[in-house]
Amino acid sequence: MANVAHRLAGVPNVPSWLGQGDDFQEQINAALNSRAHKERWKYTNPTPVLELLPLPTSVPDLGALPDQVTATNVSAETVNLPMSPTLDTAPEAYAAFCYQHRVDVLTVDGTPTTPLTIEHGARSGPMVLRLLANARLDLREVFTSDSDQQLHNLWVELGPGSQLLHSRNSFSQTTHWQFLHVVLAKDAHYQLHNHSTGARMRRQDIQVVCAAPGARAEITSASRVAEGRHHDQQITLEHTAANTVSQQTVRTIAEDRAKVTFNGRIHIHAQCNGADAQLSNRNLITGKNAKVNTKPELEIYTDDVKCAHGATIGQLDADHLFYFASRGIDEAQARELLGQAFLNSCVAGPLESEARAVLQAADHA
Amino acid sequence: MSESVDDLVKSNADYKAGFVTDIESDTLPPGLDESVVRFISNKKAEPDWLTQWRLQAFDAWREMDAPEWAHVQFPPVKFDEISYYSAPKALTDGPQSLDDVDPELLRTYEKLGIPLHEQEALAGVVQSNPNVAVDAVFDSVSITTTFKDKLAEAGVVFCPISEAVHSHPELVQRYLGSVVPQKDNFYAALNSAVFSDGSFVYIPKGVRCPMELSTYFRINERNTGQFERTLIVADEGAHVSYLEGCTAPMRDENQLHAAVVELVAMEGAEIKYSTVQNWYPGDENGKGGIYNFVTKRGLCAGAGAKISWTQVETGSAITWKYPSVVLRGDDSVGEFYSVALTGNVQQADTGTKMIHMGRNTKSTIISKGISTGRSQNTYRGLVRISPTAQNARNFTQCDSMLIGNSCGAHTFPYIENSNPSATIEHEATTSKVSEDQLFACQQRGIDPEKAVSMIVNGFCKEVFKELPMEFAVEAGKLLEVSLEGAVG
Amino acid sequence: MSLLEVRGLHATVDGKEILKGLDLTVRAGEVHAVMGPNGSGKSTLANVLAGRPGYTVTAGEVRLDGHNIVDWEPHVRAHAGMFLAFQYPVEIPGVSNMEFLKASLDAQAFARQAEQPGAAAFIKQARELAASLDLNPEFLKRGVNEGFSGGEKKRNEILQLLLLQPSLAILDETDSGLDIDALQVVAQGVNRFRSAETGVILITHYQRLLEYIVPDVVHVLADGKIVQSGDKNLALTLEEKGYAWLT
Repeated sequence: MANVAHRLAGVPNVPSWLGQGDDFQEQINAALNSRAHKERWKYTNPTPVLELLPLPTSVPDLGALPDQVTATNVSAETVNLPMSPTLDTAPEAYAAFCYQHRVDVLTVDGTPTTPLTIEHGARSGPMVLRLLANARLDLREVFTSDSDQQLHNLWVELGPGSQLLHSRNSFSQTTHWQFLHVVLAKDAHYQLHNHSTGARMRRQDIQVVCAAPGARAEITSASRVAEGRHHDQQITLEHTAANTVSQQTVRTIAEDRAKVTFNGRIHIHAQCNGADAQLSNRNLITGKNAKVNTKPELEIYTDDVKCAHGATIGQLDADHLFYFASRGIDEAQARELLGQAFLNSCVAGPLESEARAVLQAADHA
Repeated sequence: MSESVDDLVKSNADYKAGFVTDIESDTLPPGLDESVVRFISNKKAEPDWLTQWRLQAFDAWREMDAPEWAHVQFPPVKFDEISYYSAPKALTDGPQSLDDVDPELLRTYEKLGIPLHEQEALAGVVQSNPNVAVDAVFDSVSITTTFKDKLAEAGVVFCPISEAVHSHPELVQRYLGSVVPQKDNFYAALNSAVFSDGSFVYIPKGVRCPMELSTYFRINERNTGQFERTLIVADEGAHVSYLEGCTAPMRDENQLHAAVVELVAMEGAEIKYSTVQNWYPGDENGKGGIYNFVTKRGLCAGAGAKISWTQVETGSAITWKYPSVVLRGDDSVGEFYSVALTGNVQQADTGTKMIHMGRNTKSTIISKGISTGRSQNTYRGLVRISPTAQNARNFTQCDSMLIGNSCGAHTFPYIENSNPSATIEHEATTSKVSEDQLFACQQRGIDPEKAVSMIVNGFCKEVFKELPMEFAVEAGKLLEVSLEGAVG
Repeated sequence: MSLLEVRGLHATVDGKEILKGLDLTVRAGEVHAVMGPNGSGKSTLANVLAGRPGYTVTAGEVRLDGHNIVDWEPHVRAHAGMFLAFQYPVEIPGVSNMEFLKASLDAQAFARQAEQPGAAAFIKQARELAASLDLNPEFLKRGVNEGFSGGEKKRNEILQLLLLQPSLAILDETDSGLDIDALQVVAQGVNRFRSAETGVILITHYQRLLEYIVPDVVHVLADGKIVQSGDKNLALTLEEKGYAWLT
């Protein structure tokens, strides 16, 4: 990773909360070469993502903001985000603040009556979304650019009692890195509906921290990775407080020569009694030569918790296919219908109809 | 008032096997260089090919770095402070019969409950089973082997590997290193250079070994790493069940145990390898326990071959082992059943690797981890389905039980699939001994220690039922004794 | 000497005082019903008597056969003859019902320095009891309460009661969630247990159970204390007038 060290050497404006100039450069290099980082990039080459970092970004289109939402553009210096995750697990996400010195901050106070839709260009600088206490928001992220180099970086802070319904459709076919970090305060509730297709390189890093009692996070994800496409999802769910709940349901279809990677890490810290974490990852292979890597992880330091995870890899049931055939439905169509049924339970939320339209079709260039 | 589970933690005071035999030893001074490797080879009058094999391994080892794992912390092993050979002096020329064996040694084995005399075996120390042949290894030299005649009748070869090198050189040369090559990993390379003894087993075609084979061994001298090497070959259609169990005395310095076990199962053959492991785990602060870094691997070389690993681990300060199966033959089967209990400040990073290569291969993994005290218990597994592994099947169940609020239980299952026809199912759960379950047992008059023991035993049931009977009883008792240290 | 004597019992759970000076005397041969509105402390009473962790006695005495058991561990109280039929019996997977029952019997025999029951006799008795309580004897091989319906769990509690033969049985809302048939089976079991040497405390919310297990004394528990005691007719009055009638 000497390349990155070289690039960072020329970058001014490392925000003070990230460290001091040269010191930070060393830290970043160490992080990029750490065991944790190598683990997270075990099946995907990180270089394309690092090359995206210094590219120019644009401000996304927020449309007409509801009254309860204010948008400001501040310098990276003032943002002062918590170093959680640790630098080791997402050095790229922090490095972004060094390249993009302006950060868009959205603050929500109360409950807007209309959803907030963000239409992203190819690349946005880091964005921070803050929901104040008891605020509620319906957030929809749309990525419509067809640029070959896409990068998006969203940091969410949910105040006590707040609720965020977050929907995200990512269907571009290019090189696209999406970083998402969510911290939940007391009794906050986070719901993510993630729909995605494979791409030349699609990398989704999602990190959710249930940081106070009563915090609750639910993630559903439906993905179809077409012929020869790539899809790498790294989801980390940290429970750092007692009586927190998380649930993840992730389903992926891998077609011919698809390269699918999933890592779902659940980390329950010490003294977090009453934490409840569930993860289900199911992968359906419908084509030849698909490669599927899945690693659901549990790291548990408290005894009074409920945790379970399950991961499966399989194909369509021969009996089901035969049943369709016996009713006169040809195999190709049967496969399509069964594949859709497989993903269906994880296609949900405000953006579900657009998602269904895209994820239903088995053929993507 | 009644105690909660948390309150019941106390230090491990009574390690039953913790005693030392005072015998003169022929021990090399600490340190490892080429001359030590040659010395070991010469001591055993090994043929030149084997001396060269060891030296190649030694060269490779020197170039390697000691590996690190995320969840295991320990001060670096000082390889030049360990002696790599120790044999009790009285046996330098090998005993002709039990009468030649130092009586002090025999008393040691009596204390450990190991049967050397056939009459003793009948009277029953290994759970009253006359059908267990024992090859006892004492600090690097095999002492004696019983039941040689009965096995010889069946054509089964069961002897120390140092003997097999001379009596069956073609077999050893063909298979040694065929499953775990010298350069496979750091500790395997070290073992390949300095291994001093272990078991060699060969079961001829179509033969069902008439009894279960067993080895007991212990580490006795200070600062001697134990580097035994076991090689088991089951020819076409052969069956064998092998039991490995061990104990070790209390020590102040940590001791290294870097064994290598290779299993080869040919077409239609079956090897069952069971371990009940009770290395000294260190005191409540971890001082003095054994480092158990072992490479165990089985190769299903032929169609329809089957290899099962069953283990109950309760000892060693640090356990680092991944008994694995390479499923090369079509229709071959690999199984891994494990109970790993950690307490005090033990650290275990263990699991299995199932590598599917042939067609219609199947693997089953059932792992039960129990963490108590301030220990860390990690399951690390790999299920890899290569592109040629048509129709592979894997089922994995990893369950962790945490007792107390200061320990950790972790699961890192790697699943890598490159064949679309594979079916893989993995499940993991984490639980604790619930206060409700504990209270329910107590209200019925069962004391807290027994209650925890029952509940944990129930948790491990699926694995215990895979153990050969001799071991199942010992395993249950071992669990009880180990839990005694952690709870109540 | 009474079988059970509770005097001035104060107890807290999670720092909150639930029992506020409770008095209760049960003599051998008697069946006492304890009724009361939700939140009155009925289950707390059962758990405090059995010694469940998390319940702290801050004042008062509990004497079983004359011994003050307030500081005794739950299993020691069991050896002394106390039995609690749980409101929500817990599942213990991997531990068979058979194993559990045997361990309980053996522990108690050991404590009383009596001979442990032989395996064959024990199995025979367990099967007979199961059959009499409408439980498939095959359940003995399954994990404790694993996959049991609510009714089966309650009947399993009664089976244990009859097998272990305690001197004092506390039944914590054993009737909740039971249909009429199950209720009758349970009641028959409890009535079999009744004798001149044993005592029973029936904790219940509804009067219905008391038609099948007729109590000698009925107590009303409200706000952590026994506010009224009477004969079985008190239960009928409560049924008619509700608990508000008392305050």
